[in-house]
Amino acid sequence: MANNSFLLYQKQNTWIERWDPRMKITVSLIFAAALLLNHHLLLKTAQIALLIFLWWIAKLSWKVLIITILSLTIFFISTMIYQSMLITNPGDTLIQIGILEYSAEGALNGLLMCEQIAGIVLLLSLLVRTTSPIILAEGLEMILKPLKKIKLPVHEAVMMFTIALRFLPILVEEIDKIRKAQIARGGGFHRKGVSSRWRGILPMLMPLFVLSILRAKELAVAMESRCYQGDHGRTPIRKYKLHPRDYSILAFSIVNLMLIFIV
Amino acid sequence: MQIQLVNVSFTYSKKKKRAASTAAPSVLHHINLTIQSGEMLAIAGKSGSGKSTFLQLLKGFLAPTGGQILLDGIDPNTSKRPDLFDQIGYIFQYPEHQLFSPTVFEDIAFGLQSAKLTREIKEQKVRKAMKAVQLDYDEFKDRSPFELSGGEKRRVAIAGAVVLEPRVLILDEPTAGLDLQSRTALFDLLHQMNEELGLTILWVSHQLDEIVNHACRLLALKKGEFIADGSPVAILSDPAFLNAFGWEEPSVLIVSRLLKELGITSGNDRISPEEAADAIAAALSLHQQQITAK
Repeated sequence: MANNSFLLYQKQNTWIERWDPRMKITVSLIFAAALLLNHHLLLKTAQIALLIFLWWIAKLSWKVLIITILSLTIFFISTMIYQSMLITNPGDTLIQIGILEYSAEGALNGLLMCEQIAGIVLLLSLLVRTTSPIILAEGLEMILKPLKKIKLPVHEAVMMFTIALRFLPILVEEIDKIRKAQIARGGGFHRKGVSSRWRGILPMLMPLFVLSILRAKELAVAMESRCYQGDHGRTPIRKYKLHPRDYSILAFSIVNLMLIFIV
Repeated sequence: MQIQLVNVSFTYSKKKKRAASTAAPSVLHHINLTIQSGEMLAIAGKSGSGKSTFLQLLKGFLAPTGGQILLDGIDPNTSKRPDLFDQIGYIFQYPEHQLFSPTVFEDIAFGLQSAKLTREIKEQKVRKAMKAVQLDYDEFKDRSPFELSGGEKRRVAIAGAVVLEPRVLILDEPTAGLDLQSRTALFDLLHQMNEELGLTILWVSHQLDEIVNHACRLLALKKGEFIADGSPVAILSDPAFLNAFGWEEPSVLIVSRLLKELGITSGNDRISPEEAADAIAAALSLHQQQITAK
C-alpha cells in the first residue's frame, strides 16, 4: 500500500490554516506576481527563504519539501541548459561545465529562472497543503463571484476542481492496486525487458479508466440523491469574516511587492 | 508447495508511522507458520489486523522486515529468486475490476504472453483454465468481459490466475459482493481445484459459516498476531475466542450444538444441513409416536 498522505491537506490547526481563504488566495497571487516581477537575485532568495519559513510555521514535513524541490530537478536542468545556449557572450565566460558555457548574465538568468519555478511551486503547494480543499474552493468561488454576472459557471468549475483534488490520492491508491493485480496474473512480465513492460501499460490504464468512469457515475448519483443541484439556491455552511491578521498579511504582501520596485 | 514463515515481522517504515496510525496499523509481529501443500485455509480478522499485509508478504509484493519466508525451503527474497513467487496466484478483492481486454480469451491469456507459447498450447491452456472455472470455452471466448454478469466476470478473473497453473491460490475476500448462488458455485470451484489439481488455497473471509463449511484450517489474526490456528469447528465453538473477536457463533455450529445437547445427535461437532434436517425429522417422528402411544 503506497502511502500517499503527502498529496493531501492534513488538518494541523496551525496559524496559517486559520487565514481567511479569500485573503490567502489573493495574497498568494500578489506573492506570485512579486516572484515573477522580481529580478534581483538576493531579494528572490529572500522570498524563497520566506516561503520556507512559512512552511516551517505551517508545521509541514521537511521530507515533503525536499521531495517537492527534487521533483523539479528536470526543470532546473533544462532551464540551465537552455540559458547556457541562449545567452552567449564569449568574452565573459564565468564557468564552463563540459560544453556548457555560462556568461555571468546567463548564469544569473538561469538561477533566477530556477528560483522562480521553485518559488511558484512552493507557494502553490503551501496554499494547497494549508487549506482544506472545500475551504479553498469556497474561497475561490467567493473571489470569482463577479464572473457569475456574465454567466460563467463559476460554482461548477470550482466543484470540478475540488473533486479532482479530492480524488487524486484515491487514484494513486487504485493505480497501486491494479499494478499489483496485473503483476499477480502477468506471468512475471514486469521482470522482463522493456517491450514486455510496455505491454503492461494497457492492462493498467484500461481498468483505471473504467473504474474512474464508474466512480464518476456513482459520485453523480450520490450527490444528486443528497439533493445537490449546483449553485442554485445553495446556502453556505460556513461564514467567512476577515480578521485583522488577514489585513496584516495583505499589507505585508503588498509591501513585499512594492519592495521590488524600490530595490 | 510448502510455505514456511520463520519469525516473520513486518513494519511500515517508522517515518510513515504517524500517517499509518490514522489509516490502518498494518504491522505483523514474529509469525511462525507452516502451510502444507493442498490445504484449504481460511484467514479471518478484523479490518486493520494485518490480513492484507500477510497475504502480500506471501506473494512477494512486500518483503518482511524481519524473519524469512521459505517457499519449499528457499527464501526468494534473499536468494534473488523472485520467480518463485510466480507459483503463487493472487486474486485481489473485486478481481473483475482488473479486466481490460476486448475478449475473454485475451484477458485470460494475458499471463501467458511473456512465456512465448504457440497458439495451440495457449489455446489449450486457456481452455483448461476456463473449464476449471466452469465457463464454456466456445460460448465465452469471443465475448467482451465487460458485458458479463458479476459472477461470470469474477470467474474470468480467476481463470486469468489459474491459467498460469499456480500451486498456491490466494484469494482476498473472494465472495464479496456475490449472490448466494455465485458464492456456492465459487466454493464448489475452489474445492474442485483443491482436490483435482492439488492446489493450496488460502482465502480471507468474514463469513464464519463459510469458514466452517469450507476450510480445513483457520488462522485468526488480531493486531498482527495469529491468536488461533487450527480446526475451524474447534476454534469457532470456543466462547472465549468468539468473545475476543466480538463474533457470534456460526449458525451451523449452533444447530449442531443444540442437537447434541438435546441428545438427538451425538459425536459430530459439525453436521451438514441435510443431516440436521434428517435428525430433526427423526426426532419429531419419534416424539409423535410417543404422543400417540400415550
